[in-house]
Amino acid sequence: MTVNMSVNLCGITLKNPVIAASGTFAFGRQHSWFIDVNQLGGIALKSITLEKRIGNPPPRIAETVSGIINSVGLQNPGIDGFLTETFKEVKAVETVVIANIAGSSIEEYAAVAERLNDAPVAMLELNISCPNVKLGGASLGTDPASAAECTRAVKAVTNKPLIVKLTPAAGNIVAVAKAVEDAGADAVSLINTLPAMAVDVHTRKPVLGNVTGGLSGPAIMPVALKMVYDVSQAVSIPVVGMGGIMTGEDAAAFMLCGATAVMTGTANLLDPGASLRIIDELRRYAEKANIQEISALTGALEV
Amino acid sequence: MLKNLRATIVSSEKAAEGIYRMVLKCPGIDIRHLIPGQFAHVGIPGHAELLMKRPLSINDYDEERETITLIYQVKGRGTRALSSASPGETMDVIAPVGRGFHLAASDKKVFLVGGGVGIAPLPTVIKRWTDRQYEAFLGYRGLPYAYCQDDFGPCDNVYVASNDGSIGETGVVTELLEKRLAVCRPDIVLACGPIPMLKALKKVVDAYGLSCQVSMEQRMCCGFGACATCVCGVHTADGLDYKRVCVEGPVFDIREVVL
Repeated sequence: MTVNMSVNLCGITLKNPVIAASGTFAFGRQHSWFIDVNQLGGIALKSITLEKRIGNPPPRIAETVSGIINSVGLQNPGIDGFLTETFKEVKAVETVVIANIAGSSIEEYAAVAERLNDAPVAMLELNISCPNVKLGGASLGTDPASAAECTRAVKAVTNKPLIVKLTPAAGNIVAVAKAVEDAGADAVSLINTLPAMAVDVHTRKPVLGNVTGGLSGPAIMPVALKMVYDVSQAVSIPVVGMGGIMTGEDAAAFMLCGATAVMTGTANLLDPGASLRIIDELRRYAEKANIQEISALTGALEV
Repeated sequence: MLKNLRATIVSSEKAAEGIYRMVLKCPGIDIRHLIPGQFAHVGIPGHAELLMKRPLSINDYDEERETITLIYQVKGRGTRALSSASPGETMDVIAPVGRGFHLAASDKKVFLVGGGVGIAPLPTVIKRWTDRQYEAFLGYRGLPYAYCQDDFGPCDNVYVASNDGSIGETGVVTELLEKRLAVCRPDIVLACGPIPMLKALKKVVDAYGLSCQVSMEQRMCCGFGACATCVCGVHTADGLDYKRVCVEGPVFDIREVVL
């Protein structure tokens, strides 16, 4: 029996529910050295800001038990650099491409979104939750009113479906999800990395040049599952679940908790072939469970 | 060509105090196009909780056997676990990674400068480019930390320094280099070692107007350019920018990097 792996996300058909998460797939080129990236359900590009950003001072990565903490700090060529140079890499991709945008002010988010209207990307994802930038970023994503305002500003100028990416640093992530839904978001994705740090006790210094960063990987998956479960029950727009997915069964768990699609992040960095393996494992899980449509998993948790 | 490989440990042994030598069989590895200074990004076998691979120096290679010899220093949980792994154990390896050293046809006389575990990648230069004249300048903390000296046999001269004088001359490797430069100039200097050594080296090569390439080190996640975590600072017209050590390095012009 063949499983229909396709899912519908905001009116766009994904060939399968597995999307590479923003910041873990760059603009797609590096992974294409190892795999056919077009077999993915979608690719979320690295965050794009209005101006070029050089990012945070190194070291930018620390390893913890079953997790990694990064503090890249949105290093990217800026919207001009993206549209002239990076754009060429993206044009060659034949799966759903999601542009991720970030900024230091609501005006900056809207300006980047508007510039992307003619770009070859199917959807936008609003990064209002990066823990590695001082202005906006996490503070935007933790306050329901600010998150809603940012969502409204981008919806007013974009011609593409809009996903808003939520941070687990919000005191009440469900309140933020509902606020952005009311403001016109077409979907929410969660969770971004958890604010975290690592210390070298021998030098008495933080491991990261930025002192703090964001924790990802299998260590955060149980936290992410609970948040996806809570949010998917509170909103009626689709939820894209992520947080430490390493296997097809991990992906299935997120879908059972209410996710329409999932994003793989850290796994892509540890093994460039991880996402294709996860798609294959998810398909085999569905076959074993006699599921004909993978979308039937969404919200099918039996409580 | 960079490949994602499944490797098996052929042998693993202590090379010096805190320094280990490991031979990996890597079926399918592209050794023919391996460039000295490229490295291997190596998973830790038997420790699923240690997610990241470790960037390790390639000290030797055997194209026919599809093996690479890695030399690394035990620094933390991952390298400690790796040092106790046994022959037959397997792990994921990405190799060979990065931009290695580059010798132009006119670079006939080459000085190799290495400090500590940074000495490890230099012997591949001698092995790959056999039509050059080499002199080596090796710095160790002391006799118990010395390894790899025999690898420099083909060099016209090998100068050794140690902090305590227990091997070679007492002092640092750049002092030996300066003494030698007073009598003999190379076409290029290739170096790998700790940042204080590279800083001292920059002063020396600037004073003598020598071209010099250095291999940089950084905490690294993916090893193929996707995550942008393993960066080092580079001087640009605008001031500062960051480049990825894994794919834009690890070898840089000494005048490009922020030391």
